[in-house]
Amino acid sequence: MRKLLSTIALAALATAAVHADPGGGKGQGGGKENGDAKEQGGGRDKGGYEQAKGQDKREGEGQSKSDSRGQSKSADRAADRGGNKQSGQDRSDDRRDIAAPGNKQGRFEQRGDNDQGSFGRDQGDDGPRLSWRDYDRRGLISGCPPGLAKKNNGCMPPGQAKKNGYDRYDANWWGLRGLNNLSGYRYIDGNLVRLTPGGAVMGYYPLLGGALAAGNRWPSAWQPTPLSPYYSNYYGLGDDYRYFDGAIYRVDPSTSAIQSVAALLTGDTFNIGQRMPTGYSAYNVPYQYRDRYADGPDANYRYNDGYVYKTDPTTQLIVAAIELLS
Amino acid sequence: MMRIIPLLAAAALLALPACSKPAPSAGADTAAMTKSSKSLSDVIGADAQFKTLAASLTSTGLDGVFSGKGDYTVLAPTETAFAALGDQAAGLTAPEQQAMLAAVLRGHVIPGMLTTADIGKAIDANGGKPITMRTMGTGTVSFARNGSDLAVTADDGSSAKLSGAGMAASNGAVLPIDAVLKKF
Repeated sequence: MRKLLSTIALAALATAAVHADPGGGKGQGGGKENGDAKEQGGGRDKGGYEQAKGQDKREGEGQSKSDSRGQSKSADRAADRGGNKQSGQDRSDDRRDIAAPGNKQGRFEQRGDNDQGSFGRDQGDDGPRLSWRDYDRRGLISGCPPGLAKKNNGCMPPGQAKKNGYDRYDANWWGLRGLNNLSGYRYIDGNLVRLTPGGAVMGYYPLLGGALAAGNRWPSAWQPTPLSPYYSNYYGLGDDYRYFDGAIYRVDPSTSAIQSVAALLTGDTFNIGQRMPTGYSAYNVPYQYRDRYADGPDANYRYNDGYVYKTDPTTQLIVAAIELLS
Repeated sequence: MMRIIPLLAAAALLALPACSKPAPSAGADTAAMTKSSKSLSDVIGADAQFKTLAASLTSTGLDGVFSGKGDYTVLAPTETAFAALGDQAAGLTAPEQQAMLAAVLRGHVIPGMLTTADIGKAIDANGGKPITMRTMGTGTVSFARNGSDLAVTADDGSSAKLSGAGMAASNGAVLPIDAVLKKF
């Protein structure tokens, strides 16, 4: 166990180093760099329910590492469990952690705050880890937005007379996850621009569909965002992608040009042993998994961001996180 | 044959109680969902009632999300819904406003596959009270029964009626709604 924790701590620090190093490598190639990638993506080459075995294996991934069991053994066990007494899941209960996004090592110590979307920076035994919210809270990009800079007017935002009908909407209206209850922003040329009280541009956030649209360059100030290899596999991302504000973008590695929006994510936190976050009242498991993960007297299932979460219908507590590789 | 007839009669008698159950209401949550092997993007693009929505997904780049591997439920504003915006619709779909359009559309997307039957069942399980579902924006929407219809309300108070049972695609569901869920 000590060896395992040390390994994970090193991986977490390596991830943090990539994050803190602007422009340092692709970053998104977590699967290549991660020694756990194969184990995490154990079901990727299998079809249908065989892939679900990989998910079940993932339920117990942390455990399989901690007790040195191999992935295939775990997957086979999962196949035999039939979704009820799942040994991997039971072990997950004991450890209170599940596989999670936002870290290369593919594990995430669960926090107990049940705060939607706030994976936060965990300072547990395994060292600091990055999360969706860490990425979403990336600082304002200093300087002039590219579109405004092209106008060669000293980065002066459009005057009142040129205001369009929507730049009155402030940060809260846009719902940027890293911005809450902040004022002093205006929408200009696909960015949410922060202005000084005097109206000068302080910096900007590029927006999905605006500055973060196909053909535009990914902001050079924002370094790549390594995600768990599971996400890369599940969403079919390949090696070159970036994440910000609940969206994953495919990027041309040679030009940093955005090629497409690959996926949308809630980034919600699901803590094993705790209640489901708000907003999952109805059964929403993808069609192809409904036969396998159907609500019943012994378990309920809810889907989010590539995982199916199993809950106890009586206590409403999450008992397992199941990967759905396809 | 003589032995078969009494057996059939007994079976018919056993079936009677089931037949005497009241028929389910003809509400939106009991209507049959159309199923397609196509992606959400294709299903939306092929339906004339979603012409503006389809164009919006393309112009914002979100069409790639709905032709990809993740599963989503799209609360799909119909042409009537966009028309109800009046002049706002033209501004909303203008080229320079694509970021705003994307922000609006994200509030219409729910993770996973959600059917009207699932919604109805969850409302019933909640004692008839509204239920909430997370969106790909930063908030939630709530679903409630309004007579025989299902209504959806966003965090900002904007609301819409679900129009029919919707369509199941290969990677999620499309649930038509008669208004855009965003206050302007």
